[in-house]
Amino acid sequence: MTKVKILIPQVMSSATNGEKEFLIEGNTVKDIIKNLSEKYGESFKNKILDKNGNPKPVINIYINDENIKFLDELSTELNDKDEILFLPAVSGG
Amino acid sequence: MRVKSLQCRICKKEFRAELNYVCDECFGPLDVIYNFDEINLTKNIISEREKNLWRYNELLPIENKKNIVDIGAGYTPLHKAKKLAEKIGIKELYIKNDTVNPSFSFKDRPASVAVSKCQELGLWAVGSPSTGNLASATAAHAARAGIPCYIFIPYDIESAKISQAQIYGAHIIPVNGTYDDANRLASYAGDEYDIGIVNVNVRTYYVEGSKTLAFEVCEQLGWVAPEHVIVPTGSGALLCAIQRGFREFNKLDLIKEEKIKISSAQPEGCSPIVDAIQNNSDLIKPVKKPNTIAKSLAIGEPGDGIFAVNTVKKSGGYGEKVNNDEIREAIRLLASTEGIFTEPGGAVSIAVLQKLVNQGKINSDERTVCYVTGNGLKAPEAPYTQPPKFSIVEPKREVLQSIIRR
Repeated sequence: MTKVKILIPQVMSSATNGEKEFLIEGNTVKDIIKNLSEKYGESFKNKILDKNGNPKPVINIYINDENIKFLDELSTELNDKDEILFLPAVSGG
Repeated sequence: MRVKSLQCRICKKEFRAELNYVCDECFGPLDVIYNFDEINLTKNIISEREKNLWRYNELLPIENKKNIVDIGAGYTPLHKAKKLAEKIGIKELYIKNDTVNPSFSFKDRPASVAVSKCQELGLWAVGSPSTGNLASATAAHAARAGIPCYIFIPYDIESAKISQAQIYGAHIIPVNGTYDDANRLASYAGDEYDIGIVNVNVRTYYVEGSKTLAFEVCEQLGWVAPEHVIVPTGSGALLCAIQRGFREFNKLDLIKEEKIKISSAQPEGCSPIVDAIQNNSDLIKPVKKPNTIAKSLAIGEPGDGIFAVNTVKKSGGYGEKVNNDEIREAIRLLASTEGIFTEPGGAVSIAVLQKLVNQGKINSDERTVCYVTGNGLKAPEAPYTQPPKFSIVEPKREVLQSIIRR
């Protein structure tokens, strides 16, 4: 199983009991969110995904600094040591 | 306390007015909610105040006036554009000329509020990711406040914007990537180093400054709202703030009008918000590599995108985009008819106005305001594909005969 690093900013760390950097297993982004939900409860998934199971527009998910919207979204396959960053979709002004 | 709370724009959960910008329940953005019952703001009170954005201070989120960092932003001219209106084919057109702010763009408004709030929150440094205009606005206000400033910019923005930001003494960090890459790095800096990144972790307060573009237009029209406004759109934050400004003035009975059409103007090459409006979609499709001369609007992953789409739709306005040639033409048209030199980002609203009038979407008697948000000297090469060439003459009187024709 692929092992990747999860990065969560302070402002979103309520979803991970305050943890901001840790390793987790999963072959795709979808796997990762499933595994994070098992670890931190259903509320994690509900905060990240909408009712249809897609990432909410207020969240950006990056793999090695590339937005998954420019990859295969939740189906994007992961490699060992990939870094998965969750960020509020806040940009510009 | 003038600020009642911060409220999630999506689930409406309320939070204390601290350094926070995201709801911990649904990760939606937070907005400032004021104690409207305690606000006593009348036309007379406002009229007697200094002519800058702080004349509306009851509707800005700074509790203690000693924290205000002011270099004179705001209360820019509302210019009645008779010649341009004639050319375009409408009767009543105004240009909100924000090219003349202290650092020469509208960004001085949100930067003034955000840097003031950083002072109030006791943050040791400020910063921003920027396509250029916010860089200078943040750096100028940080200089005034006497605190360090860290600016994250795509390496390839206009050189005039980089040198301007540097002159204020900011630490300039050119990023090998797009605005969205710079934004991600700045977000990390804010999170890890306790820096007030004005449009990221101070964003909730920052956007309040942009509301004053709505307040001023109403005041300058004689306490009447326009019927239609055209807003250059990057992230969508300005557009949403202008709508909130009109709503708050209406709530305080400072204007009677409730329905003001708000149209979004974007450049081709980076138009995710306009595309969503035109396709009647609830999804923003991000742009990986924006490609436009309107670099100040080159934000491929607009943070307030979906909220801007909803705001335009609810208002009865439109979304429209224009190409580089149309933008260049609009720069020249505005300068040659009204004497206002704007950068490409500001000209996008003029080019879109022309397009909407041609399409019959703006009536000739609609009281219309175009927001012109940045100064042309920030992108002096933009109006031309080839630099203009001039013939050099000898300093002799005879040469004048062939040049000057009465």
